[in-house]
Amino acid sequence: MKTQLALLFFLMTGAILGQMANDEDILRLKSKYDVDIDLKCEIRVRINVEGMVIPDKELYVEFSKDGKTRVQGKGLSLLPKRGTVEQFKTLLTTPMQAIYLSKRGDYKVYKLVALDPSADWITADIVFDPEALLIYESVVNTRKHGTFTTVNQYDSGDYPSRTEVNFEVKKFNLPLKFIGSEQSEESSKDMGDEVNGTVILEYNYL
Amino acid sequence: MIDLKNLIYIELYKLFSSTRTYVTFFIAIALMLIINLGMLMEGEKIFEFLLESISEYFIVDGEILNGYLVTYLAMNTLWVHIPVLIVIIAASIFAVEFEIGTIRLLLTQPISRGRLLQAKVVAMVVYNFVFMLLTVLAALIPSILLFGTGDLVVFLDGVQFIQEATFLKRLALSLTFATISMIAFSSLGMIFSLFFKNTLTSILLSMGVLILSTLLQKFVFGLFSAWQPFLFSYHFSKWQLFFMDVIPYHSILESVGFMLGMILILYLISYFKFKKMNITQ
Repeated sequence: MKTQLALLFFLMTGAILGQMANDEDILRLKSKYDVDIDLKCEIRVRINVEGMVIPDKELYVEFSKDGKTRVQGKGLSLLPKRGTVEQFKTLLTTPMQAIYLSKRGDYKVYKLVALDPSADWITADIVFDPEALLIYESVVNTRKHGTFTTVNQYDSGDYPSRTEVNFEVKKFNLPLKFIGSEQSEESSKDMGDEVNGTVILEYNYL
Repeated sequence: MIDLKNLIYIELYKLFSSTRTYVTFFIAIALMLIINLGMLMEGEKIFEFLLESISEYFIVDGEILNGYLVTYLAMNTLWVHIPVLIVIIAASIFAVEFEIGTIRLLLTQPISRGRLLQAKVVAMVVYNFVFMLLTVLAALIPSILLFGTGDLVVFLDGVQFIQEATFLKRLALSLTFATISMIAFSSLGMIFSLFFKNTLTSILLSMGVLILSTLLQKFVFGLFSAWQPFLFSYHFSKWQLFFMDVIPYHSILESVGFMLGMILILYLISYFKFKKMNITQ
């Protein structure tokens, strides 16, 4: 009996110490990204969404401390609202519960659960490097706009050099009275369908 | 014998001395200005609403409502409004001569009927060119002055973003295509005027063909979709394809072929009808 109790004590102590170490990783990650973003960069944006044809664009973007994003480009330009460098701060500064899930090679996988009911995300799975404190993947479930999967690549620095954002989006359609073509009748049949969208962002920080 | 050049000159003189020619120009220009005015007043709201789903996911930078978009939208009048105006003149080129009896006087002159028909067809083609050019300029110039230029957002099979630099080339190609379409439709108006010798009847019949064609093309569940390649409105609508990211030239050339074929067939029917026509009745 004594042996069994001792074994249980060691196991629980190990688990608690392990969880504390994991919590420390997420706290370090949190403190790294809980800073005001003041970034200027050029972003090459490639958008691939079914039902949407848009040429690749080079944009000048300023992520400022007040949380506003200024975008400048030639002609009409689109920048995804989620999946850019701002996402790290948004995820890690919202009141949340971090749950350690597993280890993937040298990286750790955490599930974040938003505790703030007004946050626009509910849960997020993040894969990060606990040494370099860089987030390599995230799967964010939002309240209104479905799931966003983000894969980041880094050259140097704290922010990614390349990001691929995947998401589901409602197919872009027009009310029938705005349709003027025989072909558009085809697309109007799919009203409300969800399609996959991919956006690739290549950053050049200034 | 009066040569063809002089005959064409006389026909053009008659056409451009007629008040109704200028009435059609005035209506088309007024239509374009009204579209510009409407866009100035309500355009921003409409496009905010239309692009609501995009702005849920993306930050949109740049002016969606610009002169190129307004011009593109104004060209949607090619579906019904422009053909109606054009056919008024096309039908009257012959019918008026019958109505006021000048055809008899004209044919007592040393003029071959074939040449007279050619001169009238040339006048009709010139009218179409002038009308289409005026209409597009009446849409383009005020809209650029009011809204500036920019990339074009086209709602064809979803949403397409067309780069500003390619717009004028696309517009020129589209205008050429639309002019060919209108010439084909005018040829129909002209042949009706030869058969019925009455302007109103010819206009009504031409409009009937256009309405029927549009109706069959848009009929529910694509019930008459197999008939589409034989419908005027199906081919007219292809002007929009010049504003697709990748222009489907094959499909456009098929329609150009159809319309040129129609023009030729209608011209030949008109020729034989006019040659054998008894004008003493």
